[in-house]
Amino acid sequence: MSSVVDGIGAGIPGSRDTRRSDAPSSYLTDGMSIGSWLATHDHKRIAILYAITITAFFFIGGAAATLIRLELATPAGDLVRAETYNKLFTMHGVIMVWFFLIPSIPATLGNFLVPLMIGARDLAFPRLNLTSFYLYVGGAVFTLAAMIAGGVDTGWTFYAPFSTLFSNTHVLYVLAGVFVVGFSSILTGLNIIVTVHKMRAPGMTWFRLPLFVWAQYATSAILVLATPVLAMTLVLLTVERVFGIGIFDPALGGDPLLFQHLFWFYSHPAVYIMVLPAMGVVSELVANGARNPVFGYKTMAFAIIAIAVIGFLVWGHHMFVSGQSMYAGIVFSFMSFLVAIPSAVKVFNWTATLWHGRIVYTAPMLYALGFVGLFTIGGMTGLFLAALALDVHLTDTYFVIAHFHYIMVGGTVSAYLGGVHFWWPKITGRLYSDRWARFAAVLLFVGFNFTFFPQYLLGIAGMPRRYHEYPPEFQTLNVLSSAGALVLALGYLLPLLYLGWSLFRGPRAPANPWHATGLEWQTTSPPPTHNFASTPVVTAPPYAYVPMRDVVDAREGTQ
Amino acid sequence: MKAASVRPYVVTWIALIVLLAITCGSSFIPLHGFNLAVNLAVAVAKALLVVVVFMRLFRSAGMVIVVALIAALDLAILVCLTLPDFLARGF
Amino acid sequence: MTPACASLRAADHGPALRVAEQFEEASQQRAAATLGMWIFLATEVMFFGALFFAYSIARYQFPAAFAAASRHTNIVLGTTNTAVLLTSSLFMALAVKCAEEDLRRATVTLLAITGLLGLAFMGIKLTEYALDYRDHLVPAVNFAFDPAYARGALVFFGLYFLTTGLHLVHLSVGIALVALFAWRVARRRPNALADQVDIVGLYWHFVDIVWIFLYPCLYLVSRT
Repeated sequence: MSSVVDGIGAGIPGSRDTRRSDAPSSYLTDGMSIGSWLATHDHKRIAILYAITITAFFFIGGAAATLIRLELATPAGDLVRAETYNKLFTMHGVIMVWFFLIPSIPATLGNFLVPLMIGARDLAFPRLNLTSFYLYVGGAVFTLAAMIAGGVDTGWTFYAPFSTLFSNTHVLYVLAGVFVVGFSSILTGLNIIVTVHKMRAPGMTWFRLPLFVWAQYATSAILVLATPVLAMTLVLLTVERVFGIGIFDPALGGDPLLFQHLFWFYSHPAVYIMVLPAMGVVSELVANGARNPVFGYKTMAFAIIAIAVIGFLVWGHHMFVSGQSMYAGIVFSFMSFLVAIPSAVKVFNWTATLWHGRIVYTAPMLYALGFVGLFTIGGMTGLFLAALALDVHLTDTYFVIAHFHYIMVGGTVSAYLGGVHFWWPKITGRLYSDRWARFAAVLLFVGFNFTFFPQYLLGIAGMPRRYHEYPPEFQTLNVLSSAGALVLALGYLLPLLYLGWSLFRGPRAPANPWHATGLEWQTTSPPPTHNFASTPVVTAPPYAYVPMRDVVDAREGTQ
Repeated sequence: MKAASVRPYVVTWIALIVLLAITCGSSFIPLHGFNLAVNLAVAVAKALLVVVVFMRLFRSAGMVIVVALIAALDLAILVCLTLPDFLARGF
Repeated sequence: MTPACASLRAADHGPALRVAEQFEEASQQRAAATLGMWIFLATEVMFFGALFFAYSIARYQFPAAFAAASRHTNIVLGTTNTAVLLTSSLFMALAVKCAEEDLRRATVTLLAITGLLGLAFMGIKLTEYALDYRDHLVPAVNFAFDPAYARGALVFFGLYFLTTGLHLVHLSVGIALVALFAWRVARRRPNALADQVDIVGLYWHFVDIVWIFLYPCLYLVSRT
């Protein structure tokens, strides 16, 4: 069994055979032309197409964030004008939410792994899957066009009547882009739901599914039920902006809160679209890293479903100070406290999974543990915001920004990176340098906290969000945050380097370098086009780890 | 094709047309608030007939029925949690 | 089975429907396709549902204006159209039944009638649009209304064109699908295509249901 080699170094003779002609046949070699990739029906290739595209968008959104943090390093609005700053945070939000976070785990890891994990040859509707990808590309083109044409300044939340009446930026381009990409995610969700229902291998009952699949399933249900409401909301915005029909504009007799209700009815469940898949990844990584079955498997599965369901009932907590009826506010506040319960249960169960395990601190495990800690902080600050009276003080401040970045970045992006690292050998057939990977993970964790923890303090002190200038007394914390962002950026760039390096120089990966459970590890790395030589039959429960027995093998997939 | 298997469809169609006549006709009678109630009830009835008879919902797989119910439930959540805000705004 | 049916059976073209490679067997494929269409219809329920909800709020804000505006819709054409679409649903349902019973000529005929009724709906709707244009009821184009209700009437007609326009887009897709399958069934054993015809039927019935709710919202707000 080959081991990960740190960069250039001695390895087991023959284990670093990287010549292309010796590449074993797999889905990667099954057709090498551009056309075979762009017209593929293979869920694994589509996953890679998505991965490349969302990575590009991540760095575009990151570039906007870099400019934001540069501007905020000084109190004066001296780097960019206010209008430009508005465009920066708008594009950062639009790109990160719709073109990175929402497709990140579902369309890349989900697309690749769901059929493998359930023992199927592909998703239920492969051509629909490709269509989803091209819809994503189409939406991306519209949005990039908007950026190039000068950007949009409404905020990613497009509140009316500013977005419909007063903004003279290219709002319609972005609305069109998000509308189209919404259909991409709807069709992906549809595909995954039908796949999980109809394509499971013999013996793969619901309660033998990995929690990653449960998480994808719940996410897909949200995608399918919530996104169409966003689509209609964007249509109504367009109708008002283009034809002056007063649905949201109070001057024409409309109600701006109607927009907010319709928008947040989607956008709150959207944050669960962004976090549930991450929770699924973390369950896989923690179980493997602790060499223990996930504690309370059924509870974890039901918690996923509970988060998805209750997540539909809380959207009004984004509108506490909007003029919404106080009684509605009370209901939404209560529901928001409720949704924290299954989330907390999951955190407890991940922690309990570590108990009496044999913990291995590989990069994926570091990302997973980082998720658990950062998600806990982000989640708890969500409770502060769910309290009506506190929210009056904290809303629209940097406290909110810190809260959701702890979940989305500290949480989801960590989990995404952890998942990419964990399944990288399976997807690419290569091993990477775990030393560099662990370094990047730690760098990311440190940089992240320096970037976003000060923002909680800024928020409590009263610094409002979406402002390009601020009073001088906030400068110290802002400088700390911007410096942290520099470290964070480094943490994001490093994986590009060592993972990219592994594609050309990394040792070939065995079928199961992490000695993990799960059907995806029972096939070669990378898998053949049809996933399995023969349809697997499942007889064992998931997470059949036995910590005390796997003494020698545990560290073999690492350095 | 047997006439017996066609009959439920034709009967349903007749019911739909009758309901259409009721909803249209009753609109010309000034019932104030009840006009809305009648129209809504008739629309729901027509929709249910189409779903149950033409779309054969209850003869479909269990999961299909669950999907239909969940869609209805989700729409109900949108309406039932938003409408109270508009109605209670003045309080 | 009548001699006519028997001769139709004998002359079938091509093998039974191929099972796609990701599926193990035909029944799995059929179950997946049916579930997939119902999930798609669920997304459409949320899409149109949000629109109907926005309409409800707007009507709640402008009760008198909506009543006044609604009286300017053409109830004769609207009611006729509703009857046309309901009838088309009947023929669609019968077409599905005939496809399952492997009756090619009946299936093709019934699908064709369904499509024609859909086209009739479209023709009537476009005629209505022309009449609305003549009556200065088109927002942003030539809208003119009694000033006492103009603001709300503008919202009403904005929603009228939006809802009926979206409905027409969906109907066009339905007509195209019906036409496609009428053509396909004419060339091949209907029984092999019965599952797909059933799925087209589900979509067609949904388009009908949207109109079932649109009709009272647009035409029957106040007729007294």
